Amino acid sequence: MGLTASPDLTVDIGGLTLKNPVMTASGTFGYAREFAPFMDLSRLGAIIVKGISLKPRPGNPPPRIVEIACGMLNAIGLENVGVERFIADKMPYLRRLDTPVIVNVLGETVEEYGEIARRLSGVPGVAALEVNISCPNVQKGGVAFGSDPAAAAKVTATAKKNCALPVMVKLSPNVTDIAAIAKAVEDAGADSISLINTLLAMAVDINSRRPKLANVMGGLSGPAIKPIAVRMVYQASRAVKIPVIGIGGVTTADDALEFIIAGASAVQLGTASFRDAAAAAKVLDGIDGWLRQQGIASVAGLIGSLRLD
Amino acid sequence: MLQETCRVIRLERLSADTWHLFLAAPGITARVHAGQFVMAAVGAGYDPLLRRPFSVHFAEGDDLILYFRVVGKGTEMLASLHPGDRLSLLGPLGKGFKLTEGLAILVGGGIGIAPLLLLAKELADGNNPAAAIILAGRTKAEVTPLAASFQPWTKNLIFATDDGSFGIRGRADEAVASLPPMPGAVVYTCGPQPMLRAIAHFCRDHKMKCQVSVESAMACGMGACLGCARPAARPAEGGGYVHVCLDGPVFDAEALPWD
Repeated sequence: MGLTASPDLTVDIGGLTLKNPVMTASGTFGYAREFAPFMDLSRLGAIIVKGISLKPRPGNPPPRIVEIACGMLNAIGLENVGVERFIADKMPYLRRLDTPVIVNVLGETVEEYGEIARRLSGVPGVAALEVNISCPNVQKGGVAFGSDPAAAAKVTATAKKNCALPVMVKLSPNVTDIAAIAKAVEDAGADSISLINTLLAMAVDINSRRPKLANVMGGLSGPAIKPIAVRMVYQASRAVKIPVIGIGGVTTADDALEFIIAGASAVQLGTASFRDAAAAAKVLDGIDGWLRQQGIASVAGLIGSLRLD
Repeated sequence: MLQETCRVIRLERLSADTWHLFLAAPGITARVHAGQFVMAAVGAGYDPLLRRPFSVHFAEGDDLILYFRVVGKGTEMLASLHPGDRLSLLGPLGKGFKLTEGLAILVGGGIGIAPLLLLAKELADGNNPAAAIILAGRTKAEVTPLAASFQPWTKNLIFATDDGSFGIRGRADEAVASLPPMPGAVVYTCGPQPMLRAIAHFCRDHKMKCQVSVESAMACGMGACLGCARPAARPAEGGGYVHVCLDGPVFDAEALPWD
């Protein structure tokens, strides 16, 4: 029969309490303002903005994206305006929103991660950093740090040392042992981990016999990767005590709940926002509706509630 | 810009693989300008997953028309819609044609004809009806079904076909070159890349202004995915690319490199 009272949707993601577990994934939500015509952005649990580097990056040559069955490949190459223009041009709008803004950051070297963390620390409106050690589409940095536990730990410790903000570390699925990386990052001081970034993938045009992406390989996202993401969230959440944020093909409230039950404290919507610009708001409404229908008072009680008996 | 659930009014098959799709889309129709596009969410499932971009062919009252060619799964599904079906459109998106003073020459090749009908109407509404409209395609069967809708907007409707089965034999750019000189004319064009390149070069050589509408794969259509990058002729600091969805799809020809 369900509860008449509103379910408690708040979740703790490590040094940061969100009003609900629905966030938008970096690189799929622009700098948020693009989506203002479609939803009240302040309803979101948090907004994670496009990955920022110390210097502006032009990104990769086109074609940068290709659609595949139930998903897409991208090799954007972290095109972004650089941290200074981000602070000057994008933050004034973002800080007015009544929702935490988490800045995804990427460096080519460990030192760059430290420098960008230092630069963003204390910038009004920046609630946390998401340290990207998992982008498959850049030559240097990115997944080079995310596939080795020692390197991942070093980047994490450097980011932590250089800012007073909560640090979420975004992990790559392109590894053999996700638990080892998760543990290394936790030991290095991460406040939370988010996973999965895209899976390294490839598509070929049979007529031209050329790769469909100019970058040859790219990152696979969308509903096609969800079962892999759920599995890795499950594995990672059992390896660490810090909160785990689930990413990978979340399109509906059911998808989000699946991640939460498997061990995620919150989720990020990515590719889904391309198909439906209001997808995040619909997922949020769906979670609320499902909790009411099930008579569950709090989403936090659902985290990691997977039954294995 | 809005996400509008539109009602399918009807589909008209124009040739073996080209269609007109008539939609009731009052919200987008009220806002759209020639050269802008919409992203259509085809099907309800996850394959196809992404919306597909289409230039708006025509808009009047509540009605919006798309002109499309069946090239794959998404457009096949579009061509199998029925009256009364619903289709979600995101739009209007991007920067359209800038209506400029001077004689207007409209040049469309293949499915690139799509954005030119609304442009022809807007030019006529602005008391500068197109001095010439060139519609180019592979065969007579492909281009003649478009004659009736373009006829009211110009006194000089010219056809060109690859096989010479109708109008001038040759490409759209060859048809442009065959026009009498029109000092100060502006060429508005959309079509395959080789055609656009030839027209851009022709306009540069003849000191004519030229606006091109280009296409690109894109995931979001609104500047979030950055998937539709295209090299810029004069890269801005820190960025060598423009984005078809936000900076285009219509560009001044000189803003893009053509060689």
